[in-house]
Amino acid sequence: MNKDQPTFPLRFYPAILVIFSSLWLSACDNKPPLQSISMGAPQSTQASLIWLTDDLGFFEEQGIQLDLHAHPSGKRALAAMLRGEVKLAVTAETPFVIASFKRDDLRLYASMGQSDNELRILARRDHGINQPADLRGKTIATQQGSAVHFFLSSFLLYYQLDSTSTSTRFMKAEDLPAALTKGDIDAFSMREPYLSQAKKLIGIDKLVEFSVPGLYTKSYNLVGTADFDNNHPGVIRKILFALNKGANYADKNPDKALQIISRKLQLPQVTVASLLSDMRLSVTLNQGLLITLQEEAQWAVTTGLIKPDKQSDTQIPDFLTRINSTPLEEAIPYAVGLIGIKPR
Amino acid sequence: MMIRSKLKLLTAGAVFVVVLTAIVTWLEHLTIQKQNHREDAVEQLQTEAVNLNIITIDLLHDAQIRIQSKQWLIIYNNLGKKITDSPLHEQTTYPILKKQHQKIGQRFNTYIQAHENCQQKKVTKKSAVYTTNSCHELQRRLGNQIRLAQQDLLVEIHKIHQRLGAQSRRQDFIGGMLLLALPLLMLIFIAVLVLPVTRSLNTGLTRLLKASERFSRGDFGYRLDVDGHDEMAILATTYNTMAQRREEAEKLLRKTEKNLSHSQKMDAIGQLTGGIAHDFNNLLCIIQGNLELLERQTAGDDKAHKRIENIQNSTQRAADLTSQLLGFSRRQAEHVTVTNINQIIQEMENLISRSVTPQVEVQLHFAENLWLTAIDTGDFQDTLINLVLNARDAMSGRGQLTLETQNCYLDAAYCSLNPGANPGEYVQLAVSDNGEGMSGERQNRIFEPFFTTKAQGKGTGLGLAMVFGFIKRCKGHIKVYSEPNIGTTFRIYLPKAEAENLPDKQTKIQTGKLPRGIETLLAVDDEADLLELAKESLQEQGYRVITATNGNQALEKLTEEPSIKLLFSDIVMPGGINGYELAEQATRQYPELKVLLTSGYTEKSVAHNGQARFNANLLSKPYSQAELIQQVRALLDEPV
Repeated sequence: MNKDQPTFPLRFYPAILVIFSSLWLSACDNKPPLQSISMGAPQSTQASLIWLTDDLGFFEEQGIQLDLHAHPSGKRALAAMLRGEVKLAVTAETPFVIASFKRDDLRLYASMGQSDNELRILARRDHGINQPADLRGKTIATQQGSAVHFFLSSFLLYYQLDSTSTSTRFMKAEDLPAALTKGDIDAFSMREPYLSQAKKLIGIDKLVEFSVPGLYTKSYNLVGTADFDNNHPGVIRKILFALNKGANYADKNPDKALQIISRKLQLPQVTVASLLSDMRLSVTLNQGLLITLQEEAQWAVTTGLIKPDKQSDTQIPDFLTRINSTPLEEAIPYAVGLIGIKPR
Repeated sequence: MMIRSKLKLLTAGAVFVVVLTAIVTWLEHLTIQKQNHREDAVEQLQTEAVNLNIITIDLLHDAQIRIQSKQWLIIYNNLGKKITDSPLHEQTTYPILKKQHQKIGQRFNTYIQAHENCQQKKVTKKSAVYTTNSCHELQRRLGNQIRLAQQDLLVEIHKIHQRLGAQSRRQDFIGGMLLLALPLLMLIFIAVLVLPVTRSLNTGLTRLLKASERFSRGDFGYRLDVDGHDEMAILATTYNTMAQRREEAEKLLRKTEKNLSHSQKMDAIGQLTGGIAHDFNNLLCIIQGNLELLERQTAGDDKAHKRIENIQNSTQRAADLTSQLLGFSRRQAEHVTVTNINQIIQEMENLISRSVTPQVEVQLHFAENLWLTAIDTGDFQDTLINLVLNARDAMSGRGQLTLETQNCYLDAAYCSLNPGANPGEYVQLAVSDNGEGMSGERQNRIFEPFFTTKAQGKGTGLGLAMVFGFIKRCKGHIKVYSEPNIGTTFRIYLPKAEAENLPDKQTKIQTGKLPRGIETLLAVDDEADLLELAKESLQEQGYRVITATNGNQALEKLTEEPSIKLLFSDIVMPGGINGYELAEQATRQYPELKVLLTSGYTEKSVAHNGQARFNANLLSKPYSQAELIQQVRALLDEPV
């Protein structure tokens, strides 16, 4: 290099570095703070997508600091929301249907997973139960007002066993394995991990497991309230967007997704893999869900789950007004397949 | 494509048809069997259950058919979303779709099983509690399960479509970015690399463009500066070479045009003067002939003889002038002899010395072994005298006159620069003076007849014109070098004589007593007076002369008078038969007939093949009666 050629003084480089670093840091500082949102979710495969998405940090990417609260079931998570402990909840549609009779401000935003072969009827073989027809006259327990309750109803219908030919008892989910072990009940309608707990307690040889794939599709839904919608505009959309990103990640990276879900749920990968094989992690809003909500509402009334305090309490809610499809339409337009929902 | 061959669509119901038709139209993979009536569709389903592929649940329910085929697809008809752009054809490549299809099939069969159970229950009535309502409720629930699966399938299809779309958009984006980046890269490339080169190239091109414009305007003298060895330098060099060649070609062209123009001009003047001289020659012949007759008739009358002699002198001068004019116009018949001009010049040395003043020093330089040349010696002498006199006048009576001869060869290069010259060997005579010289304009006109810079009465303006005519006539070349106040050199180039060109015979005009004869002659000329003069002259010498004024008449006379021994005919005659043709026909008919032709010039009458032989006996006009008589006698005395 020609020495006579003017060169940029080296001493200026640190100064420039400092200036650019400051600008970069100030740009970072300008990033809006994460919006903290509390959510209750069952610590089970039902809410796999939530746990996976949270672990991947996709919520934070959307500016959401999700405060996840683990619950034994979706019904409990919804109950927590109804008590105001969390802002949002992940639950099956059945608890939402039941709760909708009492609360017209509940909102369902989207399903984040479906499973049509998750629920089982686990019966004591040593109680003379070898096939579904043998359940006649037996005591079958389940969690009242939940998906397993509705599954039991459909199962009995399918095998021409109406509620009068069996005895139904209701108890908490976590109490079912012990009840079956003790012999207080002959069978129960439930899901994992309680099925495994019972098998472990009783022994698989003494048990028989019934399933009817496709008989009932259980959905896991993100629910909230109208107040939340009003007070947190855009949050649901961001959450759904993040969830969809998580679902796409699971599609493309099933092994990695399995590892994450197993770690989050503290379940063996084999178990999770088995459960996920019948699950579909996808953020949707389908017409079938709307019909299911109506069906279950009708079922809830028919079976007396809904005990009206006044005449209007038994009226089937208009679930079109309880479903807020706008956030999903904004986040994932093609995922909305509802008829009667106002077009965007 | 596999799907297309296996899937068949059975439809019933207008709305469904519209939706599915749109799908199928887009997919182009399915075939539609449309049944407008539900009953017809059900009947077809029952008879073609295996072919069932796409069907509504309600239709299946009505048909009460289990799904047998594994390759099927169910699309629910009350879907509100647009699905026509779903990539259904991709279903086999996506496990999730296959899984959903299986779920749908599974649930549908469950539905059919429940339906069959209900039907059986109704028939057997085993359970009173299992009511029809229970069946309906179960079927409703199961139907909804199918719908859920169907819609999940559609969502998956949409997701795949979305993914494909995203990929497409990503590809489009990448493509777009590339498209965007490419011009940017090009711009950068242009800015960094091309622009400086272009600027340099541009400058060069601009210069080249300007040069080309000047070139197109005819300015061939402009040259580009050649700097370096790059393409522009090569272009500039090429342009310069082209321009230089074009400039040289242009100069040559202009010079050629100038020479051609001059040549044409001289030719036109030659034709004009030649025509005038020819007619004038005929008049002079008549005058001279009659003067000769009158001179004989007035023998002894000295006074009359004196007047006749004055008239004859004037007539001779007039004949000399016409001879010079004809010499310039190249229409005068030639008397070519092969000669050495050194000898002629030496013979003329005294004449040359007397032609110039004593103050003019005459130097003669003769080349040894000078080639011979075939020329008309008389014309050459006239030419030499004319050049000497021209030099004398240019030197104003004082100076140095140099005559120099040498052998030389004019090459093609010289000839290309001097139009009219032909390459070959020449005998050169250079006549130089150190007189006043001439300007270029004057040089261009000095060979024009009647062009003269001399005082009135001192020059006719025919001297150099006659020189020019002589040179052209003998197929030579003349070149003038002149500088004002320095002097002038005329170089005349006379072609070296070839052996075959040497004349076989030279006519020698005898002087003294005119020969006589008694033979019958046929004289032919369209000029009646000239014809009559020739007749009288020949008759005076004892000949019997028959005359004719044109060729046809002459042929008739030849037929009428077989005794005719000689045909004396003008060459140029009206009536369709010229002298050559007449001579040819006459000699063909009368081989022993002798022929003597006469003409003021020969160009107009082209001697065709075989006719040129008659040029051996040619009497040029104006001829003297003595020449005529001597020529006639000589021919008659020749053996046949």
